[in-house]
Amino acid sequence: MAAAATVARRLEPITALPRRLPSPIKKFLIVSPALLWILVLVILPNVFLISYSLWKNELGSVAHVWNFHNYSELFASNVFTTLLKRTLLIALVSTTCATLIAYPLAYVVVTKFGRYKTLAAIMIIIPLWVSYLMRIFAWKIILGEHGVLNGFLESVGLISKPSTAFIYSTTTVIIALTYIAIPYVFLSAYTSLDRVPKHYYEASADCGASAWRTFRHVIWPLTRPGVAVGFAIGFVLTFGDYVTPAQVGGLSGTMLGSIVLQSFGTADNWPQGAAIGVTIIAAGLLVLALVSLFTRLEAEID
Amino acid sequence: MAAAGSVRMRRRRRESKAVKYLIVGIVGLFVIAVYIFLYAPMIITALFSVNDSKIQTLPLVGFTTKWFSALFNDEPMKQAILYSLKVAAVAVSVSACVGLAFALMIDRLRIRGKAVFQALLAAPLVAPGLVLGISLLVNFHTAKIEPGFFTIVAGHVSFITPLIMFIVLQRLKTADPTLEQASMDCGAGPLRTFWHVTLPGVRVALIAGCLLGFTLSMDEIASTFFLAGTQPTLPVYVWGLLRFGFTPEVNAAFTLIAGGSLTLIGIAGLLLFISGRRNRLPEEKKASRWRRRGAGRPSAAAEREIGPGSVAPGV
Amino acid sequence: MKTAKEESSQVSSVTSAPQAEPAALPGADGAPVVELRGVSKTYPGGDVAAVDNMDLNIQEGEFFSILGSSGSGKTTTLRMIAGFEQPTKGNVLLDGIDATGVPPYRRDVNTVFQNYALFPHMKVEANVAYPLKMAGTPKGEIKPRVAEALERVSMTGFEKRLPHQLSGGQRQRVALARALIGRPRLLLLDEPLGALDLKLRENMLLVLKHLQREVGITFIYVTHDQGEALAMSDRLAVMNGGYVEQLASPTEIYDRPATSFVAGFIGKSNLLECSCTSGDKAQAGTMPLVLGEAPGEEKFTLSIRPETIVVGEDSRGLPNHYEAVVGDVLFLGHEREVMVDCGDQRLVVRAGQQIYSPGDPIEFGWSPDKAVIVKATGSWQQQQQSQDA
Repeated sequence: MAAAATVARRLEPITALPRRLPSPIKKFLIVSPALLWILVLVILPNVFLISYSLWKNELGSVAHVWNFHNYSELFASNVFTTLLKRTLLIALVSTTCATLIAYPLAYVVVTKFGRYKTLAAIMIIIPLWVSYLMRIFAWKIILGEHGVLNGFLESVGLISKPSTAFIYSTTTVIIALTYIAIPYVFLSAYTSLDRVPKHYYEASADCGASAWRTFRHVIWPLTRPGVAVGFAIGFVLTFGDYVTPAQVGGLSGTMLGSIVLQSFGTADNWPQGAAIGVTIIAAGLLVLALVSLFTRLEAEID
Repeated sequence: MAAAGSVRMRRRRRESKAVKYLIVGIVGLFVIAVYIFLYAPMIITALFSVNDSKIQTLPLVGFTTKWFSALFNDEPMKQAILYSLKVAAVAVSVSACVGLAFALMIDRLRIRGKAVFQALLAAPLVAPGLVLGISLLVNFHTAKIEPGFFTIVAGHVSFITPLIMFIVLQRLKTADPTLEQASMDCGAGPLRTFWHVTLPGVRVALIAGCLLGFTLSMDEIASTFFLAGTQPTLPVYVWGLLRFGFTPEVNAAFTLIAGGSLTLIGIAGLLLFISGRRNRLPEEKKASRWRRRGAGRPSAAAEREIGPGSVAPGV
Repeated sequence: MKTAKEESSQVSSVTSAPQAEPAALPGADGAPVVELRGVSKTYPGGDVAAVDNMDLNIQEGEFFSILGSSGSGKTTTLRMIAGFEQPTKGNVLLDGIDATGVPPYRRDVNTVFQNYALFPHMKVEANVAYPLKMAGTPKGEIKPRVAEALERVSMTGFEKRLPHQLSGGQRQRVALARALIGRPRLLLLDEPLGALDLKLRENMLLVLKHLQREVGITFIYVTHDQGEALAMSDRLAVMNGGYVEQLASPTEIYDRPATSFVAGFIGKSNLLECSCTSGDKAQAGTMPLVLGEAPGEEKFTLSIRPETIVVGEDSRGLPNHYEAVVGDVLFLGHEREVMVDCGDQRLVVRAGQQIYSPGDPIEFGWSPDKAVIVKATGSWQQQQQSQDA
C-alpha cells in the first residue's frame, strides 16, 4: 500500500505541530504594526496639533503652558471671525454648487450613458489626478485681468477695457473651489447611483411612476447618503484650502487656510496656526457628523 | 386593462414629444458644459505653454517650444523634478508594501472595529492637505525630525498607503476566496499560496494603485509645502515661481506634469479595466458572488450553502 | 469520547441495514479513510451549530455522498475533512490519525470546488501541474503526468488555454484533473455539478462514476440533488440542520426512510400522522389503516411512497383499500400525479397514463409492508442526546 504510506508520511509531522498561539494574541500581533502606523501618522499628529493649539506663543518660540488663550484670542478677534464666516460661506456655497452640478450629472451618466457610463465617470474624475496647482493656476489665466475671458469679451466687443471683476474676489474663489469639488462629489454620487439596480427603475415604472416620481421616491432616498458623503468630503476639502485663495482670491478671497499658512510661515506663531487648524478639523468633523445624522439609511442595497 | 393603458400612454406620448426633445437638448448641453468646465483650464494651460507670447491672453500668437526648452535649461527646476521623482518613487514603494499588507489584513482578519480602523487609515487621504501638513509638521517637530526628504515621504506615504489599500481591497473583495483554498488543497503552504495565487490576483490592482499614487505624489502641494525643508519638490518650486514673478515656463512645466499624470492614469485605468474583465468569468457573475459571500465570510451556518443551484430542480 | 463511542454504536444500530460493503478495503489496518468522532462546528457569531455531534466512517474506495439542503451542514462537514474549517468539538481522523488542526496543504486530500476554483492567471497545464509543483515533483515527471491527467478527463489539446476560455463543463474537467493528479487518498467534491446545466450534469455524472471506478480513490460527494446522490453513491448520509438524519445505502434510504425528513426529502412521500387503535390497526384522521407490524408507540408517522400505491381496480384486494375523490391532477409528462382527498387526508398517487379529472371518483390501496413508520424529524437525534444525558 504505497498510497497509505504516503498519507502516513504526510501526516506524521502534523501531530508534532507546535501548539498555535491563542488567537486573540496572534491577532493582536498581526494588527499591531498597523496600530503603530495609525498612531504615528494619524493619531499623534492630531494630538500634537491640539496640544500646540493649547500652548502659548512667545516671540516665535513655544511656551508649554496649557490654556485656551489662543482660542479665546481668535474668537475675540474681528479678523478671525470675519474670515471664519467667509470661509464657511465660500465652502458651503461652492460645495453646494458642486453638488447641484455633480449629482444631476451622475444621474444622467448612470441612467443614460449605458455601457459608456464608466468611461464618462472616469473622464470626470481624471482631473483629480492632474496637478492641483495647475488647475487653480489655469483659472488665473482664464479670469485674470489680461486673461482669456477678458480677451474674449474684448474681442467680441462686450467690454472696452480689461475688467478686473473676475479675479481676486470671493466669487473667483467660489468658482475655482466648485471646480475642485465637482469630481469628489461626483465620485460619491456616482458610486451610490450606480449601486441602485436597474430593475428598481423598471419596477417603479411598472408601478406607474413617472421618471420624476421614480427619482423622487426611489432613487433619491437610496442615493441621498452617497450625495451627503460627497458633500461632506467636498466641504472638508474646500474649507481647509489655502492654495486657491492664494492664487485667485486676492485680499477679499482670503480664507482661514491662508492665515494658517502665515502662522506657520512668516508670522512664526505655531500655536495660533494650530488653533486655526483644529478649528478647521472641528468644522469638518461637525459637518461629517451632521451629514451622517441626517442621512441614516434604513435599508442597504445589496 | 390593455385598452385603458394604451389610451393613457398615447395621450402622454403626444403631449411630450416636443418637451422631450427640449429636455434631451438641455440635458445634453448641461453635460457638455460640465465637461468643458472641467477640462478647459487644463487645455488652456497646455495651449499657452506653446503660445509665443509672454502675456497670457487671447488671441494666441503662434507656436513655440521655447518655454519647454527654457524649462529644460532651468537647473533648479530640473533639480526639483528629480527630487519629486525620487520622493514619489520612495513613497510609492513603501506605500505599496504597507498598503498591500493592510488590505490583506482587513480582508482576512475578523477583528472588531474594522470600520474605525479603515476610517482612521483613510483620514490622511480625505483630510485637507493643510491639516495633514501642519499636523505632521508639529508631529515631526516634536520628534525633533527636521523637515526634509523623510518628512515629505512620510507625508506622501500617509495618504498614498490608504489609496493603494482601498484599490487592492476592492479587488480582494471581488476575488474568489476558494482560489486560495484550492491552492492550499493542492499542497501549497501559506507563503507559496500568497506568491502563486494571491499576489497574481491583486497584481494589476496593485500596479494601478501605484501609478495613481505616483501621480498624486508628483502633484501634491498642500501638505508638502509644510513638510518640505530647504529643497523644494516640483510643485513647491513652481509655487515659488508663481509668487515671485511668473513666466510661461510654468505653463510648460504644468503641461509636462499633467501629460505625465494623464499617461500614468491612462495606463492605470486600462490595467484596472482589463483585470476587471479577466477576473469575471463569463457565466458566473452574480452567481459566484452569492457563493463567495457564503464561502468567504463564514458568519452564519445557514448562509454557507446558498448557491444558484441550491434550488433543486425536479424534486 | 465515551459518549461519542456510544453514539456511533447507536448510529450503526440504526443504519446497520444489509448493504453492499465496498469491495476494496485496505489490507493494512482496516482503519477507515475518514472518521469523524463527535464533530461539532459552530461558526463564530453563529449561535446554532452548523454541524452537531457528527459521527461518520468512510471506508477505502467508497463513493460516499452527503445529501442535504442549504444550511444542512453538508458543506461544513466537507470543509472540515478538507481542513478549511476546524471543528469546535470532536476529532477528524484520516487513516486513523487525528488530523484535527492540520492545515489543508498537509492533508492528502483534494477537493473539487463548486465553482472549480481554477487559477484564472494560469493556463490549463499550469493549473493541473500546480499540485505536483507544490509537492516538489521533478520537472521531467510533471509533463507526462499532466498529459495523462488531462487525457483521463478527455481534455487533451486544451493545455494552453486560460480558464476563462473554457466552457463550464471543460473547467469542471480541468478541476477534476487537478484534484486527481496528485493521486490523493481521498477526493472531496463540493456540489461539483451545481453550476452545470442538466444535460452536462448527466454527462459528468457518468464521467465521475467511471473515473472513481478507474482510479479507485475514495470519493466524498456533497450535493443537494437527491438524484445525483442516489445514482452515484455506495452509501449516503442525509443531513438536516447539522444532524445526520440517516446513513445507509441508496436503496435502504429510499425504501426505508428513517425519519419523516428523509421520506420527504428523497423522492415524494405521503406522510400520515397516525395514532394506533389496536395491534396493527391505526387511524390517520378519518382513514383507517392496516399496518405491516405493530407500531411501538401510540402516535407515529407513516410514510407511503406514491409509486407503491396501487390505483384502480387492482387495488381492490389490498388490506388498505379506499375510495376517494380526485382533487388536483398534475401532468408530469411520463405520468400523471393525482392528489386524492380521502376523508380528511390528502394523498398523492401516481395514475400512470390513466386520465382523471378533479372531482372524479378514484379507488386506490397499498399493501401494509409498503408503508414505513418514520420518526419525526430531529426527534431521533434528540432522543439520542437525552439518552446520553
